[in-house]
Amino acid sequence: MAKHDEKLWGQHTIPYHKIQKFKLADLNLSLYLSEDEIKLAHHYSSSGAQATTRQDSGENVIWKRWPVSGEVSHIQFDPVLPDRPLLVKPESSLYLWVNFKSKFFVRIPIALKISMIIGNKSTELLDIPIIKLSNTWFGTFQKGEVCYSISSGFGADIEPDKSRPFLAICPLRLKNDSRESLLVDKICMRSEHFSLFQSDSQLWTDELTIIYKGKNETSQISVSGKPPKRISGATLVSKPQKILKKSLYAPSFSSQKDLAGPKVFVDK
Amino acid sequence: MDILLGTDFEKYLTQDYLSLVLRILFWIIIGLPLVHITGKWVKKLSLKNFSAQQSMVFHKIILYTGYVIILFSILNIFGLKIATLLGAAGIVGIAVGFASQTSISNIISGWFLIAEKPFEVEDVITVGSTSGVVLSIDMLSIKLRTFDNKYVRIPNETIIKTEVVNITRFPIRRVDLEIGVAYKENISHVKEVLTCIAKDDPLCLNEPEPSILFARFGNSALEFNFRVWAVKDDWLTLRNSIMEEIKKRFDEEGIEIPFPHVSLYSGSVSKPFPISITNQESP
Repeated sequence: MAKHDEKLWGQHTIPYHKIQKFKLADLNLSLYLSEDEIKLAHHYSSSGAQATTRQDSGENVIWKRWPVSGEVSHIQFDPVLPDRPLLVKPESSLYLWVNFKSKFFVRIPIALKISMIIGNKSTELLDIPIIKLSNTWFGTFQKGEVCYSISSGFGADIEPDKSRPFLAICPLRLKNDSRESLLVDKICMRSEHFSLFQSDSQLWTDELTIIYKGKNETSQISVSGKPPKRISGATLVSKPQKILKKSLYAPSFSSQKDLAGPKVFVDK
Repeated sequence: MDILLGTDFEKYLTQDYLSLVLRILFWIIIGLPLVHITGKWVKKLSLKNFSAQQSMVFHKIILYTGYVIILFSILNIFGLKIATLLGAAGIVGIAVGFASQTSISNIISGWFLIAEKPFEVEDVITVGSTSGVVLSIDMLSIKLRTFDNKYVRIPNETIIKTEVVNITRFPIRRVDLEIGVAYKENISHVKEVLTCIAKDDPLCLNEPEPSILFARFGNSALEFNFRVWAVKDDWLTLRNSIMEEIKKRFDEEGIEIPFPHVSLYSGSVSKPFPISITNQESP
């Protein structure tokens, strides 16, 4: 029986010699603990019936194993940001006039960091995205990076959603500093620079500011490093993987021209 | 024994002669390993900041420079002047050049390959009918490791003259699949299923978007071109997984993948092929 725990983050006690199951959104997680090793397997519900059958049979599950020395007192679940940038597509076309700045909110999926605790020592086992994310490409055919693809309504305001603890809210400030109006087709959010905060069961990232400088220019990216002003009593739950001291200049917006579809495909 | 220990042997045991031998040995025993160690050290160090190709070039520069220094030093010990050597090398060079035009052509082609950089060490290339991973780009030839683990040497001159396909130059690659379904199938349904397959495969990139083109009315099937994109490292895995998934999903959805077949009609489509049995009289 899968455990759907309301207290998702924090320490969990795992019984020895018994498969303990957890269900977090799409993610089905199985943990098995013995004196010699800890085993972990996961699959996503949306991945189809076959995966579920595999899990239930208990024979064909693909386990990952870690040898342990000492008694594992707890398993720790922590929220972390995904290991790749996120390419966010607005659900409807979004235009920014010249010199216009605006604030939006984007819900971003987070990953689960699993650690084991032996005595006072915590050892990280692995990070798994809680929602099955699809890969996409940001850049041109010659140069770019693999990102996770998500879509967002880019709302001007947002309400915390306790029913979906696997989504963090990212306050995003966009400014068009160029001489032309900007159609926001896709935005690359480099989550490795984000901190993660928790306030009243809702996860928040620090504020991200992206300044668009022009079609052939890189955008100026900065993160506040502090919890958003609108939330109170926030605690830091995850530090950025890469600390951004000042600003970063990197491509952040892309247009249809970068990966011109039909022209590429009809080439024979 | 007397001959060996005689005056002829003793005359070689002079201090000058021993010094000459020691100096030659120094260059061979100390100099050569030192050049190799320095070359390896530079290669290892440069790998941290430069590509495999660049560090290979640095390694070769160190090696060849070291060899030349050792050779000239040894010749110098024998009393040969470098200026005289260079003069002689010019004359010898012309003679050798005529005799080894192919080798010279390969060396010059090698320089062009390094300067033009159509590929680098660790790239996967196809030259003619040979595909493999580039192991090294040397003075006379490039070395490939084919996927069935064969070692292939291709002269630089051949590379310059032949079409070379660099498979791993760009970060993403397209998987092209040709799919045929039975004439009775609904084209929209087939397209819908293929779109779902692309969407569900985690290795298939959302962008560039997968494309499904209705290619032609084939002899036995409606033929589609299904094209999806993957990061170059995932290309083969995606190609394999997506083909398996197509078969599985088509079976689930009852979409028929027809084998090549021919229908024979005589006269009308609705009537069977006429066969009549006639009684033959026995001879």
